[in-house]
Amino acid sequence: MSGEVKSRRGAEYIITDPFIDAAFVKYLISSQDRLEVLKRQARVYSETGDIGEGLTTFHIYKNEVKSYIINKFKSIYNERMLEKEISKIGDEKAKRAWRVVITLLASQQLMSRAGAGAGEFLPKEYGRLENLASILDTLIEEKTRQRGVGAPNVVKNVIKKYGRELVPELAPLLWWINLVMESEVFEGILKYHFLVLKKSQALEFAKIAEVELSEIEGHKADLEYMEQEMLKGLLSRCAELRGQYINKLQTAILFIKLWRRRIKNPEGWEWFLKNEILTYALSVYLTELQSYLGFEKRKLNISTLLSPKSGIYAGPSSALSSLILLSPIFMQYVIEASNKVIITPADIIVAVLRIAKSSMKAEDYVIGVRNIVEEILKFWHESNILQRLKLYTQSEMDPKAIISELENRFVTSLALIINTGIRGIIITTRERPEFHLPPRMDGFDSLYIRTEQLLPILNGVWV
Amino acid sequence: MRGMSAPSNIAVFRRFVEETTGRLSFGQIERRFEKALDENPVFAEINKSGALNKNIIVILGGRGCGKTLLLRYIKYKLINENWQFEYVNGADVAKLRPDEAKKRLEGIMSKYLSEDLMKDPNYRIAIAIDDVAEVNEIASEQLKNIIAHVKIYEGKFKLILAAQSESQRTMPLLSNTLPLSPFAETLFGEKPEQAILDSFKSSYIKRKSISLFRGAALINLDAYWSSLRSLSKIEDLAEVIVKIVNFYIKNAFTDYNDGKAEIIDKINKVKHGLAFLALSSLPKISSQADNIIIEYKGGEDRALNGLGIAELISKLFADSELELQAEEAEEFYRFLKDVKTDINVNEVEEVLLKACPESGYMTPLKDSPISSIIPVQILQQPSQQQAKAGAGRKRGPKANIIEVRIRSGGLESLRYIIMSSLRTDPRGYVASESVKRIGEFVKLGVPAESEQRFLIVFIPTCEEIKNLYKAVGYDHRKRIGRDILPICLDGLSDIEKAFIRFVKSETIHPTILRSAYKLVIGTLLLNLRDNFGMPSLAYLMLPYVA
Repeated sequence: MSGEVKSRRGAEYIITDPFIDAAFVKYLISSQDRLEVLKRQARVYSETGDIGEGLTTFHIYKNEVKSYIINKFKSIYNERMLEKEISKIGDEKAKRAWRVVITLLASQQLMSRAGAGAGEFLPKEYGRLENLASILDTLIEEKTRQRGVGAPNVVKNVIKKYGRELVPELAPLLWWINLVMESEVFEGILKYHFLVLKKSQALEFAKIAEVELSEIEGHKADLEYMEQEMLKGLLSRCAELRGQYINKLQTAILFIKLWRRRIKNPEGWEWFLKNEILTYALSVYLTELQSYLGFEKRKLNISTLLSPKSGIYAGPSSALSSLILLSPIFMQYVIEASNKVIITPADIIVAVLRIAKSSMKAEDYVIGVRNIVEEILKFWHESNILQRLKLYTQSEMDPKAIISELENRFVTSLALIINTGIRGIIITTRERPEFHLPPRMDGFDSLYIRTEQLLPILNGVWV
Repeated sequence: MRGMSAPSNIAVFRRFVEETTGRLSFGQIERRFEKALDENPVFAEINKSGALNKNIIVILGGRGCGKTLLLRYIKYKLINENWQFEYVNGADVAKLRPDEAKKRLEGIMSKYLSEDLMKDPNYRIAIAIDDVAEVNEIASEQLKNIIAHVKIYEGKFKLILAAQSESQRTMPLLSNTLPLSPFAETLFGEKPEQAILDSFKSSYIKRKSISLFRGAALINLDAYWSSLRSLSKIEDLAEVIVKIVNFYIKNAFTDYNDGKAEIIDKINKVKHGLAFLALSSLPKISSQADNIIIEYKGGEDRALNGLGIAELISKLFADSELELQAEEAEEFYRFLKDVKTDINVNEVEEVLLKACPESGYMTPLKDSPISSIIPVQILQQPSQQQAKAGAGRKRGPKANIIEVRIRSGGLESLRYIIMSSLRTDPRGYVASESVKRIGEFVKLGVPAESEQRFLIVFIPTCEEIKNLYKAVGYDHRKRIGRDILPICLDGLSDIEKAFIRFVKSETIHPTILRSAYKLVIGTLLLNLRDNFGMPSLAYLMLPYVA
C-alpha cells in the first residue's frame, strides 16, 4: 500500500463538512451584484462553455470567502486547525461553489429556454436561488450555534423549523450543491455503484465466507449481516475511508442521504447500499454513455462534468453536461414529490446510443417514440434501475402501463434536449403526430437521429 | 372672430397641435382628424404596403408613436370599403374583473360574429382592440378564440390589435397568444412564433416597419421612424415634418386658405433644423434580454415619433429658444451637407467621449488606467517578470472608457465600455501596436460580458475584421460579438463623417452643441454597426425605458 493512498484515508472532517460547503455557496449567492454577474455568466457558459473562472468577481470571492468561513466556523472547530485546512482546500472549494452556482443557474435558464420541464420535473424553489441563501444560512447558523451538535440533528432541526413540505421543495438544490461540493466523495460512491452494477465476484464473497465459516462449530450463519458489512467495507474502500469512519461518509453526503422523505430511516446504511437511486443512476448514466462512446477507462469525475468546455461544440456540450447531472436529480425529485417515474434526458441519450449500437446504425436513423421508451425500459431493467424504482413508486411497472405513462413524460425531457440546442435529435412524423413538443406543440411520433452531430457534442462533455 | 390676421391662425394651429399631444380617446381623435387622412405620410406608407388587406393586423409602437391615430385611419379606410368598424378599448376591458373581462370578450363575439350575421353577404366587420396586451393578460384564451374566428370568417372578419412595445405584457401576446392560436400557421406562416418575434425584434434595426405574413401583417410604427433616424435621411424627415404640418392644418381649420401659408413658410424655413432636433432624441431599449429598440416619448424628452414631432411643431410657435435652435440647426445642416471629409477611428472615439455626458447617465473616463475599473493586480499572476516591471505595470494599460449607469427593474448597475481600435498606417497596413494592445486587454480580462465590461474595437472597414481575430487569438474568438465588439466605420455616410469632424472640433454654434451631442447618442450610434450590421454599441449606450 503506498503512502499516498494512506494519507488520503481518514476522517477529514473539515474537508467533508457539508455545512462548510454550504457556507461557500451561501457567501457566493448572498450579494445581489454577484448574483447578477453569476446569472449572466451562466448564460455565457451554456452558450460558449466559459465558466468564468478568470473573472475578477471570482477572484475577489475566492479571496474573501475564506475569512468568512473561518469566522463562521471558529466556534465549533479549533481555529488554528480551521485556518490551516481552509488555506489548503479553500481555493478548490471556492472553485466548486462557483461551478455549482453557474451550472445551477445555467440549468434553470435552459429549462426556461426550453419552455418545459421546470414546472413538471422540479419545484418552483429550484428557480429561486435568492431563497436558497436564507435556507443555507439557517443550516449554518444551526450547526455553528453550539459545538458538538451532530449533522443529522441539525438537518432534523431545520426540517422541523421549516416544515416537512420543504423537504422536496429544497431537495434538488441541496442535492446539486452536495454532489458538486463533495465531488471526490461522490466519485468514490459512484465507483461503489459501478462495482455493484457489474455484479462482480467481490459481491459473491459473502456467500463463500459464510460457507467457510459454517465449518466452525457454533457459528451461526447470518448471510444478510455478512453481506451488509461487506458492502459497507467495499463502500469504505471506494470512498477512500477507513472502515470505522463510515458515519463520517454519511456527514459528507448529508443532503443526498438525509434529505429524503420517502426513506423511513435515512440514517441507516442498508437502503443506501442496496436501493439508492440518485447516485446509482448517475453512475449508471456515466458508465453507459462512456461505454457507447468507446472510452477505454470510465470517467466518474463530477468536477470534469462541470468543467469549462472549449471547441466548437462547447456551448451544447456544457448544456448537455448540466442535463446529465440533472437527470438523476429529476428522477429522484419526481419520486419524492409524486411517487412517479419519469424518463430523464440522460435516459433518452442512452437509449438513442443503445439503439444505434445494437442495430449497427453508424449513420442517421429514424426511430419511433414507442421503440425508444421500450429501449429505456430494457436499459432500466438491465442496469437494475427498474428494480430500485419499484421500491419507491406506486407506478405499475407492467411494461404496457408504464409505456403509456412514460410517453407523455418523455416529451418534456425531449424538449429539454432539443430546445437547448443539442443538435442531432430531430422530431419527425412517420405515421401520425401523436405527441407534441412544447412550447410550440409541434407534432411528431418519431425521432430522426443524426449521430454524426450528436456524438461530438457528447464527446465534448468529457473533453 | 372672422377675418382675423395671421397670428391668430398660428394661435389656432398651435392650440390644435398642443391638444393633439394630450391624452385623447379614440372618439376624440376621430372627431379631430376627419380630413386629409390619406395625406398623412405614415398612413400613406402603410396603405401602399397592402398591410390593410390582411385579415389580422397587429400594430406595435412605443408611447406616442400614433397607434390610436392609425386605428382612426384604418377605420376611415375600411368604412370606405363597406366594412363595419368596432373599436374596443383594451384598457377599459383590463380594468374589469377577469371573469367580467372574459364575458365582455365573449359578448363582443356573440354580438358581431354570430352565424346569422355572417350569413348576410353584405356584412363585413372589423374589430380593433386597442391596448390588447392588457386584455391578453387576463383573458388570453378568449382572445385566441377571437383570433381563430379570423380564419373561420375569412374575408368577412378583420381583427386589428394594437399594443405598446414597451409594455412587459406585449411579449406574452407575441410569443404565446398569437402563435398558439388556432390557425396561427395559416395566418403567420409555418413557424408563427419565430416569424412574429423575428419580425418584431429585427424591424427597428432593419428599418422595416411592415411585415406581411400569409394572412396577417405586423406594423411596427417605431420602425417607420427608425427608417428616418439618420443624418443622411434628414431631407426625407424634413419632408415628413412638412406633410404632418399640412395634415394638422387641414384638420385644424375649416378651410385651407392662404392665411395658413404663414405656418407653412415658417416650417419650411427651418424644416431641416426641426429634423435635426428630432434626431437629437434618444430611442430607448424596452427589453434588456432581447435588445428591442423603440421610440418612446416620456416626460420632457424629445422623441422621433408622432407625439415627439407634434411637440416640436407646437413649441416652434411658442418657445423662442427652440425657434433659435431650429434656425441654427437649419444653418448648420445646410453647411454640413456639402462638406466632404474623411475621419479616422480616433475621432469617433473622441466624439463619443464628448457626447456621452449629455445623456445624464454616462461618464467619460478619458485615458484611464484599466485598474480603475478592474483590480488588475488580482488577475495578474505574481511572477518575476511582473515584479521587475514595477508598480506602473500593476495598473495595466490605459484606455478611453465610458461608464454607463444602468437603471433597470429598480436596480442600478454599472457597465463599462472600453474603447480601442485597429489603426492603419498611411500605407493601409494595420498597426501591430494596436493588435498587441487588444491582445493584452483580452489577456487581462478587460472584456467580461457577465461583469458588464465590453471592449469596443473600431475598425476602419469591415474587411479588416480578420485583424481582430488575429488580435484576439483562437481561444477567445467566440467572444467577438459578445464582449469584444467590432464597430466598422465604413457604414458612415459623408454627412455623418463631416458631422463627427465638427462635433469633435466643437466648431458648432453653442445653441445646438448639446443637441448635437444628443444626436451622436440617439442617431449616429445606430449607424455605427458591427460586421453583421447590428448596432451593438447602441445596445450598450442607449437608455432603458424607465
